[in-house]
Amino acid sequence: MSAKTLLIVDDSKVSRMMLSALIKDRNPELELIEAENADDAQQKIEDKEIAYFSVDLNMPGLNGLELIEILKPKYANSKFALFTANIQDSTHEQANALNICCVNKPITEESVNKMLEYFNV
Amino acid sequence: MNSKTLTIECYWNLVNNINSGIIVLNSEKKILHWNQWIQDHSQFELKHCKNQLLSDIFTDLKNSRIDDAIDNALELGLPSLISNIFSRTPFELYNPNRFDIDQLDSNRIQQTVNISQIKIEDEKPYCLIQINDVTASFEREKNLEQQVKERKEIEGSLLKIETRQRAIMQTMIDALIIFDSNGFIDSFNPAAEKLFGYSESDMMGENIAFLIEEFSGVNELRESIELMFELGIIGKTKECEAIKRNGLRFPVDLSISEIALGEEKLFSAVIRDITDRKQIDKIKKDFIATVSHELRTPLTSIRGSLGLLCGGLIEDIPKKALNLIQVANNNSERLIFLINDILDIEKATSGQMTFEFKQFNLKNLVEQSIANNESYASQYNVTFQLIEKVNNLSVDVDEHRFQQIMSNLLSNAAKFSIAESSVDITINYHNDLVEIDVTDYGQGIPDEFKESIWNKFTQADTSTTRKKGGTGLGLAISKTLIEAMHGKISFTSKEGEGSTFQLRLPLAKK
Amino acid sequence: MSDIPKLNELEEDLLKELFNLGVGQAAASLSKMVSQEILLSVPKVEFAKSSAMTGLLDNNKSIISITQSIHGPFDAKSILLFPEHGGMEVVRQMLGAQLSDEAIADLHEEALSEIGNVVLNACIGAISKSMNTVFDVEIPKFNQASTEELLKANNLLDTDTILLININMKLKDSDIEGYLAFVFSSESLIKLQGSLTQLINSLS
Repeated sequence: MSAKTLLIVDDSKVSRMMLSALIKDRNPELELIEAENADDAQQKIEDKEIAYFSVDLNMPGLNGLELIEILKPKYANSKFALFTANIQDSTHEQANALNICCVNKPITEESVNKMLEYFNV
Repeated sequence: MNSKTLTIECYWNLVNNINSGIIVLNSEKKILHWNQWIQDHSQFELKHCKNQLLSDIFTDLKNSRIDDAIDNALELGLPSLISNIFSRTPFELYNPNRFDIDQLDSNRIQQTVNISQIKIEDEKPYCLIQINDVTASFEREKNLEQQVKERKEIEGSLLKIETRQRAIMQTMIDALIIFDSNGFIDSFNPAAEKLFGYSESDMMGENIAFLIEEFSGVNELRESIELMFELGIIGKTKECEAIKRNGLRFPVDLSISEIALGEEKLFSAVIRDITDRKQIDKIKKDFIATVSHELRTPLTSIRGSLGLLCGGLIEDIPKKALNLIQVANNNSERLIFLINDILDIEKATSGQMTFEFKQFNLKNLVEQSIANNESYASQYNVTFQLIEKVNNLSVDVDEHRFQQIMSNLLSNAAKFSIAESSVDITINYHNDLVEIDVTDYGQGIPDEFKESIWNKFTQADTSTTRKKGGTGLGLAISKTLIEAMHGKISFTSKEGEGSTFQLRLPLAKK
Repeated sequence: MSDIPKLNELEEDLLKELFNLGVGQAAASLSKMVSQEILLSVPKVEFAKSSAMTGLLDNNKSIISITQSIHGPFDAKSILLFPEHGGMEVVRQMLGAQLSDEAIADLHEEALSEIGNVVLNACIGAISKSMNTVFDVEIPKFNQASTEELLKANNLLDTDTILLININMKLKDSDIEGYLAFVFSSESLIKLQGSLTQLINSLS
């Protein structure tokens, strides 16, 4: 069984570092790819099979929700999680509309576990 | 240990007497203590609530800002301000004087809440909650808001009214000048600017006196108004001479009225240029003068000649010829009367007829008119009867014109009487008016002609004109004349029984 | 000390994330207060001299500031700054358009103190959580004055170092720019840098 790939998209290096560390802690078998914005993400995943997406909401360029909207059709079987510090009703509504999981920052063991549980890994 | 406990007791005494609510929670958010104020405003007794979760007692607090603030204070030492601006009434607290009223959310006191961490004895964090009743200032602000809103609405309406009035003043065709009781101009509309050649800014604060010839040469500015009152201008329209910026003088109709404004006295003047109208009047006057002269002169000659012939100046005129000359004479006489009547009416209605008013004893006037018309009446075998019901009445009239009216009425009465009857002339005084009634007992006026009796050229029956003579202008002239003398004329009539023509005149002022 | 410490990439990143977290929380709280969508973001974080504050907002107009002093492993002053019209705009948007100008003038001090308290608490809270420390925090003080007076009121010299955080506030009909300034004494600055380094090390 080949290892599944998880894409982390976040403009903060620190956040990416923390996410990687915490995910690896829980699930060392997952293969991780990091991207710092929407463009970078689309380039890096070109033709790759990505099972899970962890996307930050506030990024320069396309924001997390916009990126997910673009990627979802191509990755119909993959799961998407949106990390955000801005936990407002409107964000939750949009997330529900897209049928994705919303996770509140800060990035902690707790919030990362919540995401991984949603991914079922 | 004991002394520490005592100190706390002292502090709680203090705290129980202040005019704010104080609640202390332990690190588990359970109630440690609260002061008398809380009890007074909630009717919860401390002893029943000690060691309960705050949100179990004040159930609205679950998941509220207050709850988050308590967490922040206990866990992170953060102080929070929660005013009534964004959270009006977080705690279920009421005015202690009004607990009889239903405990509805709408009756809660308006609150500002301060939440912070304190350390009491041990090093554990406690949460201090301070609550203030700000209902009074909230009500005050609401009232102020309401007043501001109302004031803005009133200002809005006033502005609308002012704008509309300004629009009227700006667009009206007549010149409108508003000035104060000293004659100083407050407002000068565009029509006035156009008429006089000054701009409004030129005229502000200037005196209206120098625009009107009749007022110029006035020394004290207040005199302008007094002069206006004297001349009887206020409240009436008067013809005056106005002066343009370039010095040109021109005739105007000037109407001044007082604007009722409470204490402030303001006047408005509407000024209309009547140069055109005066020109037309002049043309009419000239026309009348021309007609007067051109028509009458030959007619007079014709009548003169025919009169002489009728009078037998030339002997041996065949009888048949004499009859024809008689007809011609009568008709030329009629023509002259007609022309005179027409010119009279024209003069009277165009205000060119000059009246010389004098005071007369009414009885004397009427006796004179009877004398004037007796020989005419005798043609019809009719006599005049004077009935004086009130003595010593005097009137202010133009003698000549009054006699003209009386002649008209008496001759009509005689003409339309039955033979051998009399015509009654009654003098009376009633309701501040002098009454002269001329009553005949003749054929009366048919109903269908009553409406048009005052019109020019009507007689009940055109055949009457030929039978009885007359131009049909008499009553129209009489009406114009009596009205010019501030009187009235009316009539009553019953067909087959006769008519009464009623003249009314104001009593002469002594 | 007249040297402005320079943040390396990771340090800057960390601080930005920290404050983004803080203002994100604050935005959520503010939104709930007025049932409107409010978005707060932190485009930029840097160390600067306090004189930089005078140049930031229009010198001639008033600046509205809400200050909360904190004491603990290090001492600092946290200050939320708005240009006067920006502050009034925040109040107008949050309180609703139906309020008259007079009412807004009346309430703005209290309202902005409360709003500032929410934002500052969130940021201080974020710092506390990430450094696992609890600070002693004073209640907010409101001030409306020129930048010079602001510096004086906070005992700031032109040469003092501040952590200057650019804040963007998006309300229904307006975008408002403000600043968050953290003022550190030189000892506190050293301690702060120490804590930052610790944090970063713990990540790797």
